Amino acid sequence: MRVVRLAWCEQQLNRLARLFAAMGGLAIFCLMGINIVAIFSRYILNDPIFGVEDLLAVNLTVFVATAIAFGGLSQSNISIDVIKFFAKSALLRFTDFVAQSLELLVVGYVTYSLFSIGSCGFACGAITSNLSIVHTPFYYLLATAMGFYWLVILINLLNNLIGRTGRFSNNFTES
Amino acid sequence: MSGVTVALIGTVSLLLLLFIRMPVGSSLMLVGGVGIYLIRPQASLPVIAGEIFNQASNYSLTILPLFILMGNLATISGMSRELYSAAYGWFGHLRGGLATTTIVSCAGFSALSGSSLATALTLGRVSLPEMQRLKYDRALSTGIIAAGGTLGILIPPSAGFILYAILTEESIGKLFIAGIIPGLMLALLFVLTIWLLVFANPSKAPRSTEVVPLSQRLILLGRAVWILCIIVLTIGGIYLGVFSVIEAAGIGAFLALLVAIARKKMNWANLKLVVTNTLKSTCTIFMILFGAFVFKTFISLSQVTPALTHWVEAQGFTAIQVVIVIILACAVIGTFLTGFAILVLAIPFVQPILLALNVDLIWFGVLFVVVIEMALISPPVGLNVFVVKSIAPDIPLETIFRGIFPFWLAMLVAIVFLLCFPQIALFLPSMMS
Repeated sequence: MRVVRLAWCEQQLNRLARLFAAMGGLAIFCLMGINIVAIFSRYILNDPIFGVEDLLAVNLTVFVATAIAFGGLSQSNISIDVIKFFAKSALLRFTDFVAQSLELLVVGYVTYSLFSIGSCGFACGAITSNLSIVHTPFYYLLATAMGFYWLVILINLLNNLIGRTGRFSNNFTES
Repeated sequence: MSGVTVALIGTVSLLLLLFIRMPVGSSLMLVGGVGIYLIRPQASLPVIAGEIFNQASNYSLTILPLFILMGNLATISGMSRELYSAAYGWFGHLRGGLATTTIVSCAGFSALSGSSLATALTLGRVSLPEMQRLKYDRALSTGIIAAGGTLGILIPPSAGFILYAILTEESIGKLFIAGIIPGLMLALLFVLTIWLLVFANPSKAPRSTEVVPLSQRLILLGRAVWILCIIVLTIGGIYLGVFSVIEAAGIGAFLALLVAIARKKMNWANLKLVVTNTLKSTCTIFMILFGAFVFKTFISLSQVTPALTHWVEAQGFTAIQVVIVIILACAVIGTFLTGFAILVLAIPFVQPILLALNVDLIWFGVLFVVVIEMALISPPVGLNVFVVKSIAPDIPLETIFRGIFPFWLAMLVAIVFLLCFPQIALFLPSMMS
């Protein structure tokens, strides 16, 4: 039963990750597009676009948030694998459990801090310098991405506890 | 507990967390967050959220995903194959010609991709089957790919330089330009290493083909003209001051996209591949950046760096002595830590000391990136080695590491040159518009 529930959770997270990937795809091409339009406007039309830095910065935030979520699921966060040369699999399972628990703690705290600090917004002067775009929705987006990553770690931790290999897809190009 | 003690305990804990395979970014965030809480409890929450948001919305960092996108588009558009063919036309007939071709192609591809892993993987897939077909020595052929891939983070655009520039608040453009001559010098040292190895033992690299006629060579070079266009526009634009680094990244990505579309490579499968690879690489770097800035704030609050700086000054060490010690220490640490981990761990500690000793941080950045390159091929965690292993699963890791060793020595020679002649790195930035 537990395995079925975990498999269902993984399936839902995989679906959500596709959504993040689609958003990320749009954001990166927007990033490039805004850049090109700005260059064209500045060098060809001799009329620089006001606030283009702000647009690029918020676009970058969207892209980074989607990258955190998608990369988290596809295990893009690098770790250093020296311990495997010294430790046996039982010890590795224990150290992985400790590492995942601590990661769960810190990513959970980061998610909370982003939601908490980001909610202040305009009142705290959290706006972009030229176009005065309020930071709050972007804080929330980053917090959501971190929250998604937190769920991925949780599922991995539970899988580790019951000795099951997870089924997170790390290559959506094949699907 | 004093700030210095907290910093010391934090650093040891960080190494312990890295040792138990906790991801680098999360480890830095955990140690940094707890450290800040212990020194100034009320600052912990806003610093963590603030640093993460500041990096995620840092206008200067726009170049990271754009250059990653450019590299991924260049990979799917088949530019690496054309680069390899052009280099093969010019160098393939020489003894060790395929090996030289691989290094030249890696150097060329490095100007499109800021990632050493991507460079090793892309060129490895093209060159390894060719070298295997001609019965090249297995250690030599795999060693060349792993070493050649490291040029990816020295020749601009380079993710290593971007990370270093953001951490030290140095100019990304100047660092990019500073990496050009050392990158070419290192490529030349690699070629010299190949020639020495083949001269000592000709059976390692059998002579391949007859000389390609000049007309054919020019045609092959002509086919690679797109790559030259992108390199000239992006790196040349930065050097001449025509574009900012961010604009150059946008133009480079756009041109690479145009090439991919013109070659009908921009199908749905490739589009997904490009986007997902860009997302994954961006995630890797930004998670480390988030952690690095939280950790850096913790180190500043702990006041350990002024104490360290005073100690170094009191001992009367000269700048060059300190730089050599740092480089040696990082080269040793590089045998068990990955390159970016060394960068984010070391810079918060060493930057104040270097500033106090008036060390040029552009020059030091180039030196540091060469050390990171060494870490990428150092046993047991050299990431490039595992990339090569993934392309050549039948070749044992020991063989690959054996093949890498002469190129690791070549990097050491490059470091000595850079230490003796800082102008190798500083000449071009001093001429920038």
